[in-house]
Amino acid sequence: MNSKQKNAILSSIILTLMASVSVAQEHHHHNELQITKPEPPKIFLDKSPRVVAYQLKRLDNQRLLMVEREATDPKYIPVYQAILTRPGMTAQFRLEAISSLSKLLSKNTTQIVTESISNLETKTSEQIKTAEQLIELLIGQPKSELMEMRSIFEASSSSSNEYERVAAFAALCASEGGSSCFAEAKKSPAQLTSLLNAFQYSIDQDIKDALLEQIIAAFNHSTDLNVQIAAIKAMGYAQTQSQRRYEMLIQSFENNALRDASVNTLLTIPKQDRPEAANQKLAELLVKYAEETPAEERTSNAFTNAMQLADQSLSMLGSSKAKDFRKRLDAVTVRMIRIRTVEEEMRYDVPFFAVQAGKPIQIVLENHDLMPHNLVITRPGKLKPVAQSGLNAGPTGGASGLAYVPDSDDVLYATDMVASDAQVRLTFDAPSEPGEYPYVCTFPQHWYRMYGVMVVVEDLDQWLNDPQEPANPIGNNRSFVNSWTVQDLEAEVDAGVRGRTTSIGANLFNEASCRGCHRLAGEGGVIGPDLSKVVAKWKGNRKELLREIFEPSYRVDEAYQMQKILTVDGQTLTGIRISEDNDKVVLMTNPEATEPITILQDDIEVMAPSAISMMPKALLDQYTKDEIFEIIAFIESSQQP
Amino acid sequence: MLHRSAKLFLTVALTIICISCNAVELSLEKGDHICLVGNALAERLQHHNEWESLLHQRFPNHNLVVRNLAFPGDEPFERIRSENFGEPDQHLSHSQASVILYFFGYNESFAGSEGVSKFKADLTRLVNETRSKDYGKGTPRVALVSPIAFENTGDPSLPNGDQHNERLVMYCEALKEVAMECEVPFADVFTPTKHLFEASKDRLTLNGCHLNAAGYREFASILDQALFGTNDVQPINERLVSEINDKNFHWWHRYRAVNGYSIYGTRGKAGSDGTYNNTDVMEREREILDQMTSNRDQRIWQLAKGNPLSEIVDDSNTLPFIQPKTNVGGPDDPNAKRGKLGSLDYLPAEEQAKLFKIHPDFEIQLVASEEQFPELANPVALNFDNKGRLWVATMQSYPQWKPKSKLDDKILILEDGNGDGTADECKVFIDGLHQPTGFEIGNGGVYIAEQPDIIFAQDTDGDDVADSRTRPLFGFDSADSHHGIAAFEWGPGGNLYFQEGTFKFSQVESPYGLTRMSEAGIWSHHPKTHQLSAFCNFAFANPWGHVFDRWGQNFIGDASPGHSYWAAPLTGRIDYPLKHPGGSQHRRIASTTGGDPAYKFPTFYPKRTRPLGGCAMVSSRHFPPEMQGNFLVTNCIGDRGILNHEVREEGSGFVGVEVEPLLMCDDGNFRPVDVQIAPDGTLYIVDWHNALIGHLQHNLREPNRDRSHGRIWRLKHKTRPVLEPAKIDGQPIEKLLELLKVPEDRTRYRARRELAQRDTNEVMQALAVWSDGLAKDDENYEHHLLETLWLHQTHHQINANLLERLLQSNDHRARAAATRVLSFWINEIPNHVELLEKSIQDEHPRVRLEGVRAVSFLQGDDAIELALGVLDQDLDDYLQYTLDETMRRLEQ
Repeated sequence: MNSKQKNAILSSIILTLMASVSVAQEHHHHNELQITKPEPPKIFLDKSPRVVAYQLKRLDNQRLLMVEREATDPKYIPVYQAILTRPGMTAQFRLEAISSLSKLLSKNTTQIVTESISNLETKTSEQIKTAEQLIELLIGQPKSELMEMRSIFEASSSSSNEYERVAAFAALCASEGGSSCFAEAKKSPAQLTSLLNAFQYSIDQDIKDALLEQIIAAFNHSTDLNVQIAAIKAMGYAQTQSQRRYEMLIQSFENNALRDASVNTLLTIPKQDRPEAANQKLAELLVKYAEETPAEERTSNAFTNAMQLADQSLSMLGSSKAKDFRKRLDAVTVRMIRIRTVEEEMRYDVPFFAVQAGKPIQIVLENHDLMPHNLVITRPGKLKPVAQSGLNAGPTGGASGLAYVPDSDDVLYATDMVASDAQVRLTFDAPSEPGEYPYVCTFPQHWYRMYGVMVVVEDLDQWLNDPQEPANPIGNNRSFVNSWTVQDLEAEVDAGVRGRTTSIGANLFNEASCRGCHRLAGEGGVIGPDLSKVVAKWKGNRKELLREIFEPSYRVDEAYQMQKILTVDGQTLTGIRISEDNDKVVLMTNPEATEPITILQDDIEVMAPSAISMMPKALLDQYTKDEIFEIIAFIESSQQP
Repeated sequence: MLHRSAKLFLTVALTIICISCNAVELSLEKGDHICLVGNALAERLQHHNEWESLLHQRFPNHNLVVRNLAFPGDEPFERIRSENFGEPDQHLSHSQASVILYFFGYNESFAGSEGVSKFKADLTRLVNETRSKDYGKGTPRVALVSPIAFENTGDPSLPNGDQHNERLVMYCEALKEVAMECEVPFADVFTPTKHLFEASKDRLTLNGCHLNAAGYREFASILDQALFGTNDVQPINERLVSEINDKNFHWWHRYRAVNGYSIYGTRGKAGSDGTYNNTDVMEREREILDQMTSNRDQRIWQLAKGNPLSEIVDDSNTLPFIQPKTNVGGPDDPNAKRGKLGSLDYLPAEEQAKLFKIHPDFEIQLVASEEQFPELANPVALNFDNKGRLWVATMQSYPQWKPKSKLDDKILILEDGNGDGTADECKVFIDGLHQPTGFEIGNGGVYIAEQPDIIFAQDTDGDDVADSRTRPLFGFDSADSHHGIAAFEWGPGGNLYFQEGTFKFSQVESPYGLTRMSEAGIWSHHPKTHQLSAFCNFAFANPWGHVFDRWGQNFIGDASPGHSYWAAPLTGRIDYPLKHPGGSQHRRIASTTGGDPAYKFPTFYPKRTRPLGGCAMVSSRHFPPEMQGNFLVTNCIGDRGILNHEVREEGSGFVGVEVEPLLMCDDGNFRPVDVQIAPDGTLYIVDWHNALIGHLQHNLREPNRDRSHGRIWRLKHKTRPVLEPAKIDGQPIEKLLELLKVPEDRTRYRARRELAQRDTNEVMQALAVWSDGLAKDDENYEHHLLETLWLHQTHHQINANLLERLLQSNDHRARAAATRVLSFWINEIPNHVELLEKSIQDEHPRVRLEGVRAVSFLQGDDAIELALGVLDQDLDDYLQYTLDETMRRLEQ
């Protein structure tokens, strides 16, 4: 890791530390914040479109949002267009731009989104992500509007712009089921590929399932490699005919060019839907593939994926057969367990896995979150003490030099902090003593949610045949309930909050770690907004309250945006701005700090806020609908006048 | 105005009163180690050692050790340095500082009243932090020294100092307040130097803000008394000064070692002979220099006590040198395989001459070689003086002076009495130089690169030997001798341009404030106004070529990558730490200098082979008409020859295409590194003539670096006559002005250079007459007018009418050049916005580009609006880049 990456990690470490501040401090009243806004950039909107476009392009998102705009004056059209198509814009501002453009241009919102996609540049990964977000926005438009624009989508489905084609097909599928699309798309492999790529978007599952035959037909009839790969990928978004898909994909696995895509889709098929004979064949193929892969390619992502699949396959074989295969695999590669972090949810995607006592193992930790995370394996029962002393080890770490990894005999193995979109491999010999060894992210306060268990067993294949879920290492006996969305709850919330019990809600408010960051009824942290007037803020609109909980980045209260300050002498400070005037900025930078620090404006080179909320989403995915309503009722009952 | 002066007087008076009531005095103890930290005022004290002499004279029994750690441009917490130079604490510990004298306030004062509170906070923090340290002799004692006053020199091209002194008083007051609050001594040298300047008939500063030699002589007792109180002024002990000179010479070469990047920086790891790398070998030399410095401390103490002293310094106690083994030769020599290595069997010049492959119309001639003139060994750069004589810089100490050896690099004059192209006599103009990587004649003397300074040497009695040498320019970095200051070139408007390469972190002070530039660029210096600023802030590797065409458009050659650039888009203003993106080193540093790391600024022709030692533009009637304007490049590795490129205008810029080289040489030791059209129109080539060429590929002390060869060649057309060299030196101004009509760029260059050093009033009077008398129907009339404008710029005489006339020229090249002049005069032309609006709407894209470039020297929303006007027409890539960079500056 170079020093720049290290700095990036350190600064986001400080950032996240802030999320965990839970000191109740009486003297900071955020609603009385004095924030002097910097001068908005001067944009010469009366000049030629070329000048305006050039000027807007030079602004970063923060400064773009500072540009004056009103939905009543057409001169602001370029400003809204820039906001709509900017990478990294929060949904709140995209929606504002769509509705404003709709008014200013007298077009419906579907037209606005459609046009924005066709004008989008898609060269960088950020721009591609924007295109994907806009496609999601498009298919979320009213079906009636989508239907009305059918002919336009049909025309643009043969556009030379890849994302315009994908958007058109996604809209057609979403609006009218898409059965005509395959006929339409047969014209060219590029079109067919775009149609197949549309399946990754949130089109109704029924529609996707209904089109599976056509996907398979496209796969069977096309000789174009791009089409075949896209079809394999699309098959992963269906949920029917799992056995048939499984068998087909095993066949395509044998084609070198299709192997990697096939592995990815095979991994999506539930274990119980995998026929035994086919599975055995796949296990054999995977072992052979491992043996034939040259050593230098055995660290590729594709190989790691294949080995995850092999592990699943072996676990479904009889123990003796599995042992035989396992022996062959062990001869060519260390067993790999891939663990991913889940974006904005502060958790690992693997809650537990098993290893054979004393055998070598490699953990591939992929960080898909925006914050840095690590993975530390502790002795059984030692998760909490290790995680809590991680804070004391600090960003420079203990003797190991690994950030937030304490010097402790209870730490068995640990990775360094992994930056966003990076990965790290941790290779070690599993402990010889069987038991349940917790792993945890020791980034301060992450341990509440971010942990799992490595089960060390005498006989791995026997265990895999009949896996036993280990005990929760922090004594949490909750399990996943649902990935709640605002839409899941908004219809019932008004009725749901009636007749709730304040004391139950209060307990849940603590248990779900809300109080760590939010003040309510006189106690709680200061890192998030005080909730004692939140009902009045939204004028009793519970949908907005739900949005605050389940879509924390939808809009971020300006006062609670993380501010990153670069000082003139090159220091980076991150934290929540307590106050600001012409001379100074007062910043809370550290949860252990009893006092905020003051930075002179003269010393500040740049101060930039982050667009993403510090609040993880999915905080309540282990809570039932009733419990969520209890929490909301508690919040409402604790309001101050 | 009156009010301001009255206020100033009051404040000064107040300062004097308060200083006398400052109770804290600096007391020295026996064995104290005094370190000087701060800006150029302090740094230059090691070249003007009268104060240090008075110190030992006042405290003869104290055995004081003085180490100068100052750098021009240093501020309390902003001191930029090359890689691994070491933190201030490291150097204070090395010197075991017990007393630290801080010299701050001059550079900071440009921030005016708004900067005072930060200055005080920084100083307080610095004093407190310093006193919490122990550098080996307990808690260090600290004293604050004020800046000196700004001298009103009476030179109309320089500030009179009123505003400077008003600001400086505020900063002296701030220093004094911090000193009182922290209870540390404060030495006010502002008040006494202000009185001194007012009372002195003689000029005591170089430029108003930096003391000259006479100024430092006076300053010695001022600083002495300000620090230690009034005393009977002792006459300066000259013998002691000379011993201190010798001590500080050795300290200078240790602390400010050239090639830092190859000693303690990344390339210290290079040059390994299997056992010793550069760091091992060179750090040993620095240890030896430490010991030699200490030995000289002892002599100073003896002399201060009045004890007798041996003539010769005894350095027998020093550590031995580490001599690395050679990595040259053997069957597997990687440098030989890569074609970089020549042959250790050097050929006589006569044999070498047979190995040239020359363009069929040309022939080669030996001008001079080491066989005839041993002093010519290691020639690196050439120039022609106004008498038409060839001057050459030599660097036998390359890559760096070795302690205990004679420091003896030179500038030579090679006289060719009979004009046959062969040198008859070799005169040593100046010796005792260190790494003169470049030089240029002008302003009545010779500017010589001697990193980290630029020396100015003059021959005042006409015997062709320098009898005066000063250090007028300083603050450049010394991180790498082969990236050292090179490619001096006078711009047509009288600016002296010179270039430094990557790894360097420079801080230069001037009467107009501090300029920092990191990681390569081109500096510009106007000898009349003493402006010293970053002209091209761009991440070159080592830019060794710079040439202006007939119309003032300039081209830059970057040596290591062999890239040639059209300069205009790269020369708008952008300030440290930012740089214009796209140089060969840009990717490495883009995270701090800004811009897309992957971006590469286009070269004006595709590079075929690297590197580029020097460049020239063909402008000589001795060359055939079809070659005029060709861009010549010396290649000393890939091809070993003179590459030749045709250049034409395209869009806003220029496009080149390579054509048949002028010459190549099969002798692998032919190393053409500099090239210039001579007064007789032929082409002169400097041949470094060395088997080794890469610096990185061998240890700095590689034994096979050649120190005895060097040749100058002359390329001559077979049938076209050579030109009669123009008479320039000592000619009447009227005749010199006529030379501005000559087609040869280099002849006009030398005529301008002569005119630049003549009396401004006389030149202006003659110029007015000459200019009025120009034939308006002459096809070169616009160019003659442009020369007139450039001469105004050279003498810093603003001529708004002429400028506006040329901005309306019917020739876009003249309009572009005039717009460039406007960029230098922007603060003095009141209607500059109106003029730039027109340039930016010009029908020719180059004029528009120069207009947008000029806007980078303005500020504010109005300037942004002005620049955006260029979007009314289509932009080519150069224009887009210039607009983007101007916007970056305006948003900076």
